[in-house]
Amino acid sequence: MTDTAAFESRAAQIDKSIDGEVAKLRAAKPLVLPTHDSAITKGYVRKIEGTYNVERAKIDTDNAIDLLYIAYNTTPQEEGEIRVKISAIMDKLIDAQSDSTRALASAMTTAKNIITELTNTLPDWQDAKDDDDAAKEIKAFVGKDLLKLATGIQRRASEVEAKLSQIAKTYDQIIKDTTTASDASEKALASRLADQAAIRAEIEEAEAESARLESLVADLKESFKSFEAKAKAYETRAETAEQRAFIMQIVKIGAQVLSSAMPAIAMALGAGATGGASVIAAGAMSTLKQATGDGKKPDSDADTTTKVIATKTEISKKKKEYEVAEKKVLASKDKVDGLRKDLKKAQDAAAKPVEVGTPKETEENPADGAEINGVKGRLKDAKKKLDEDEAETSKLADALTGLQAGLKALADGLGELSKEQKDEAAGLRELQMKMLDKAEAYEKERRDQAANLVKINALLKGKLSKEETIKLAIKSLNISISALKRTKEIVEEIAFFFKSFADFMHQVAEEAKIQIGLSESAAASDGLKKSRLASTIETTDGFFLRQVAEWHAAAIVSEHFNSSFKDGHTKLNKLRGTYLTGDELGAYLIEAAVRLREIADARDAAAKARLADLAAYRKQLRDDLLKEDVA
Amino acid sequence: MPRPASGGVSASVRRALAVLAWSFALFTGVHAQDREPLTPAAIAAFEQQLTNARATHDDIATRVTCFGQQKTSLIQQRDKDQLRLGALMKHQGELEPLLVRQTAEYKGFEATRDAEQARLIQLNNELEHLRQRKAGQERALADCKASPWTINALCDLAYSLAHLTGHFVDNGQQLTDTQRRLDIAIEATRGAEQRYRDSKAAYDANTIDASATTTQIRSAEVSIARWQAALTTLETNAHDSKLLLDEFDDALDEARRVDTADGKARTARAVRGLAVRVDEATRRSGALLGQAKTTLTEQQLRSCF
Repeated sequence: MTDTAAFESRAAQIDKSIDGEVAKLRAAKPLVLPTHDSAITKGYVRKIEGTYNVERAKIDTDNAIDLLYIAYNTTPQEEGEIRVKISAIMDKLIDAQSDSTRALASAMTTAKNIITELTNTLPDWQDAKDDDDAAKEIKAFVGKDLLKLATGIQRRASEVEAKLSQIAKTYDQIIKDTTTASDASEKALASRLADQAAIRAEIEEAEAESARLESLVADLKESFKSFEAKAKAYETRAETAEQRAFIMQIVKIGAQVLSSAMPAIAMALGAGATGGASVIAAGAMSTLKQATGDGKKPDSDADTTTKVIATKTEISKKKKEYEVAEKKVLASKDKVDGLRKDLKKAQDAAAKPVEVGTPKETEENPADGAEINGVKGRLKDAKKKLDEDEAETSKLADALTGLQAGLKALADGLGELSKEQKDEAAGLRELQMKMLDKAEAYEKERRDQAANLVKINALLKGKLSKEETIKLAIKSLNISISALKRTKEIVEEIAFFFKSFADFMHQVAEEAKIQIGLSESAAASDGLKKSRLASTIETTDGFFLRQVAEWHAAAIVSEHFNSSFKDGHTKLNKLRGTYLTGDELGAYLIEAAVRLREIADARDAAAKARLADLAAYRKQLRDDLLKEDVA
Repeated sequence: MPRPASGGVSASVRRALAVLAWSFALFTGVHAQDREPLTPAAIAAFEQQLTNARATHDDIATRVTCFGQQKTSLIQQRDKDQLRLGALMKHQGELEPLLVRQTAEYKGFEATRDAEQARLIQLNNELEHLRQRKAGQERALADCKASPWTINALCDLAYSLAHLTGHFVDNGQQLTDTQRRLDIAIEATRGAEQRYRDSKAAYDANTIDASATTTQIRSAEVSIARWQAALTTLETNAHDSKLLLDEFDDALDEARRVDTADGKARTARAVRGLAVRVDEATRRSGALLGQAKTTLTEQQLRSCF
């Protein structure tokens, strides 16, 4: 506890310095009371301040107010309960500042009254000391006037102490409330962070689903185009074949015309022509029968198309699952690598042989200690998870290969017609219809999947919007929590100051109490002998000098603080009345982050400067005391 | 017990004037005998000044208590609104991403529906064109056959030859195909229209909710801002009143400890100092009253003055 020792040493040095000042002042005849800028007064001011720098009170109070306002406004409005907590802290701080102002104003008034009283009573004390019958006059003065004076001082010092202690308690409550609000904000932040992680996972899932659907829709679209193109090609070929049939029809008509002129030839030719036409018709019928299948094929073409589409959909799903699984494998690998690094670090630190990469890396050993075994345990779990993820990836890869093979088989087995059939018009028309059927089936599936794509993309947009809101809330809450923690630090210092001031007033009351005891003792005595007389004069002189300096110090410190609290109270009260909403609130978030940084930097710099100042003051006291000892 | 504003204010003003009058009397008495003990008249004047000061003190104390009650009530109402706002903001936070999703969804379905409708129009045009062509060809054949100097068979031959030379195209199959595509497109458009309508209806329903929520949020914010502003004004008056009350407390406490009858010059000086303080406090009381009348709300004035 080096700091405590140094602080005590400083307090002792101040006491010694004050004792020296009392001795110097007592040497003056007649006795002259210290003023607000006497060395002894400054010593008491240092005593009250303790480690706190009263000069910084205004800046600190301003900062605490700004921080609280930042904390309030950067807490998302939807966190109504936390906002209520912070506004309650603001209310209490306003009350505390108001009470502090009143208590310090009261302390100043009391100090002024007591200094006046001491100043007014000093001539009577001087008269008693200068009287021919000094022993009698001094006994009378000490036993009556001084007793009354000291009693009044003790009472009023105790009253000031009580008020200051009460205020310190109020600040302690504000510190507790600030901690509660800060805890609630941290819980809200933790909840938002969990929401953020969940929404990120959902977004990644939606993105993968969107990519899958986009790819599937594109594939279906390509299939649709391809079958439509085929249908068009068959249509063209069918038209050509039909045109050939027209030629045959014209030949037939020509033959009929000729037959009316040349019946014999016509009969011969007609039989041939009719026979030719019959062959064509028979061929066409046969083709039609084959094309329609007549139930001879095991699977209809429509069934095959449905199966192809279903397989393609399944492939796209498996692909997505495979990609997700691959990502998991990578994450697991990273985790294993990280834990291996941790293990190496821990084993290096413990001067143990490094087991990374060996089978022992997951074998826990009681001789290794909790830290190494902890890492080994986590590494074992991570490796197990990696194995599982790799197995899942492998399983999905096999499934994908199987599905793709199935798809190829389905595509190969598509009911294609023979070369001869393809050249027949009816067969070509049949093929055209088949292609159109397929195109239609793909188009229908594409439409359904495109609708799903619209839905998933919309869902993704919604989730991205939510993620943005969560990100903003996290940023806001982080600022709010920092501001609350900084507020707490400042309020702790203010509370400490009030406790220190209350302790000082307790000491003043104690000094007065001692004086009361001495006065009562003097009043009760038969008469003051030489040595007791000298002692009484010394203590009474000391009482006047110390009390005046102490109350001057109390007034100075109170005045310093009061101006800070007066402004602070006005500022916070005004800020409380400025309620930010909408765009102003959004803009304030940026402003608040900058202001928070400024305050943090300024406080760090001030803390360093204060330490340097205390060190310099301690050195000065030590040098002064050394000089006096030499003299 | 709250008193009517006008009566309370007038009483306070009357009391302040009386105190000033007594203060003047005391000064003339005290200053006349600066180094002398207090005269009975000066003591009586001082006592009267203290009596008036105590009454003013009691008025201020009542007012401070009333301010405290008002403040508690304002804080309760403000916090209730803050909690209400929190719930509304949470609801809005849920609605916002939902509306973003629903907007994207209905716009996506709207685009699909528009594309389907465009395809439907295109197919309708195609079909109409094919029908017109087919009708034209059939009309030409019928006109040929109807002519008195033509043979039907020759018309059929010419009709077939026209197909062969490419002047006529048999679009019967095309008509069938296009009709089929049109039927599919009609079905698809119906589906797209339905999806669009459903998604738009869901969006519209939530938009109404969002709009109502925004209105309620604005109302809660305005309400909170009003409570905060009222608290600020009240606090300024309450703080100033408390400071004045402290001043009266301290002066009266000091006065209690003064033995006006001890005949000492020191006491006379103390009484003179106290008289100045009480006088100043009384003057401030009047100023505070004026400040309260211009800053506090009617309701606050009615309740606390």
